[in-house]
Amino acid sequence: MITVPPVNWPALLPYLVIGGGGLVVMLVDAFVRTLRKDHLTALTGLVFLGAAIAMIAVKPEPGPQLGGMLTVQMYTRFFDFLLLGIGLVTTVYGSAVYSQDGDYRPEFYPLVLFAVLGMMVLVAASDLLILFLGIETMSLAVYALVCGRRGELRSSEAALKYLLLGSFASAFLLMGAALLYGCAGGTSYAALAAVGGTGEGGPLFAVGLGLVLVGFAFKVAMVPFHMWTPDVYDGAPAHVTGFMATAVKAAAFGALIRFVTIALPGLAAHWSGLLTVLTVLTMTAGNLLALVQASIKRMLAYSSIAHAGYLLLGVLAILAPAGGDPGRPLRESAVVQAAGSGLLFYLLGYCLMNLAAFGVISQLGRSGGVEADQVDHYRGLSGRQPVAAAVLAVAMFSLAGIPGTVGFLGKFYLFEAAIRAQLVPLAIWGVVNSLLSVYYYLRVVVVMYMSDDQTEPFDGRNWETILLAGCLAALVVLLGVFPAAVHGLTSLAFGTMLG
Amino acid sequence: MEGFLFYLGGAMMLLGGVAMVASRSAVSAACWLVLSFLGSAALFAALQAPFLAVLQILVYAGAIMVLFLFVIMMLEGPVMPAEAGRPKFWIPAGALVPAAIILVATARWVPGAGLPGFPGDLPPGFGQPVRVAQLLLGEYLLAFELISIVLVVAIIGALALGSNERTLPWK
Repeated sequence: MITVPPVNWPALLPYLVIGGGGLVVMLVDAFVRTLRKDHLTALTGLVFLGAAIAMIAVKPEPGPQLGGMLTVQMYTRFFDFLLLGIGLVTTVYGSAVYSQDGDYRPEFYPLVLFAVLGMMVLVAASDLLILFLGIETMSLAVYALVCGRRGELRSSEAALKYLLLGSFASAFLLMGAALLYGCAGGTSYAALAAVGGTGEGGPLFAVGLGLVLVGFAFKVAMVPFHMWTPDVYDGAPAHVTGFMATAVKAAAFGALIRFVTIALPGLAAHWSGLLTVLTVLTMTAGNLLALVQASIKRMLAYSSIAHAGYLLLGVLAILAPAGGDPGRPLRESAVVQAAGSGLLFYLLGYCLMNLAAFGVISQLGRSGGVEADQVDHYRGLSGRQPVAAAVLAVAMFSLAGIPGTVGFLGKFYLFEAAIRAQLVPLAIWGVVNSLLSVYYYLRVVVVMYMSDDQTEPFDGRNWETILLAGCLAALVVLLGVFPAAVHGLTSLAFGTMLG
Repeated sequence: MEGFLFYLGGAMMLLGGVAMVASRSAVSAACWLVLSFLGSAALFAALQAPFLAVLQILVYAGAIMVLFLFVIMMLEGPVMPAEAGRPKFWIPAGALVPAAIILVATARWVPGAGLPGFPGDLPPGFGQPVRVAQLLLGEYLLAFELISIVLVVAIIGALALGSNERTLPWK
């Protein structure tokens, strides 16, 4: 007799809508012969909206699902909404690209849906097995998306590099999970927490944790594991790069935060030394290498590495108080609460400003087989396309952390939490780094506004993309001026995860 | 007995894995992979799970390997010189395996160094097909369904990357 664990259908509805929607879009694409390009866009958009409506309309009992494999709570719902939004924006960007030039890739739509499904599962996972499957669903879809242009050498090179290195990182994660299973006798986060809390894991447990950390480090591009990032971000089409820079990073951080707080609350002392080194390396190397880039996509790739460093600072701030007092539950600490809500706020802002930037890059179109890649291609853009230039300028100001934008407040919340967690040297180093970053972000603005060169060939226009990017830029400013409501929300969401 | 099977299977998997990575021709790499699969079947047998051991041989060493060889044949990649420049470390590695097996086998009769068997009594029905089905469609139902999604994504990706516009069947 097979006993299926109780299935809470309302809680699983969003996952079913996205997964089922992906299958429907795939089959419609394959079998409906009278299909026009924009039909698929509309259908994909409807699936994303349907999943969002399912989350708003159906309020399930929060908690573990399917025998503790998944956990649905406000924290995971926060990430679900964020990922659905990114998926929707990417779909619109992508369809605009396909309507501009002839190279139409119908598999883009189901792959985006499945990637978002993998990310949602990844954030909600409460078991190493599900964590791994979420990462694989996400990664396999993104590998294929990176190769967005058939027959283009750079795009294929990027996809191959990402596939090989990504598979390697997955193997590390799997090996680590196997060792943890051997030590804890189970793969659930609860089993790991039970063993990790007593310190009985021994050396194999530590090795397993290290290997799992390597898997995460690859996905969020921490510094010794970042080598793939610039080439892949550069080779992929801009709308896919935007998806990778935002959704993949947000999902991986969402899962990492849950993993360190739920599965390893008692192990902060072992993690924080290693993570401190990684944080400093990631911030510094990302910013220094971004300084010397002539290509805007490579610059944004290194900038995304630097931002991963700032986010790691927040993760450290969560771990630090627990390290000082192992017996005390994390939820009672105001510092942990501040760091966690700061992290979520930063991730939201980071996604908004990057999507706006990549929207502008994507809509400028292609000339001679390449995208508007070099910073020099943006010379005098303010004269030719004032709206696009303004959107890109807002995104750059926000990435640099200029006050009045969401980027400033995100950094403010993170560094403040780090100082309260007594990580003062690290916080100062973070501020120094973000000062350094102002140079390369503002260089783009200077090139756009202080030059009247009108000869650049990149002059694609697409009102859907620019409208959407404009809305995102408006949100960047709005949240930078009125953060209270959203910050309250992130605080609440993080609180639900701690229980 | 379980200890013997463990070391035997482990050695087979290691040898098969290393030789697979080191071999220059895709066909012989695939054949080395069979050895690795057989080793993991031995590990399942050591874990008192004969059903999984048989499945491992039937599905992986049998069906999936045939598929691999079929794909290699279809791809018609450049035929690499199988012997030229082959690393020679597999010879000592190969010689180590029988030595290790003899060592493991004789360790049984050395007093105080006996190989550990399977600890404790097994629950009734352990390793039987019924129990495997219960786990797969019960406790691990979500993982089971997610794997099917992973496979669908992999198929879409492979089709998208591997095909070119002219050969798509529906165009």
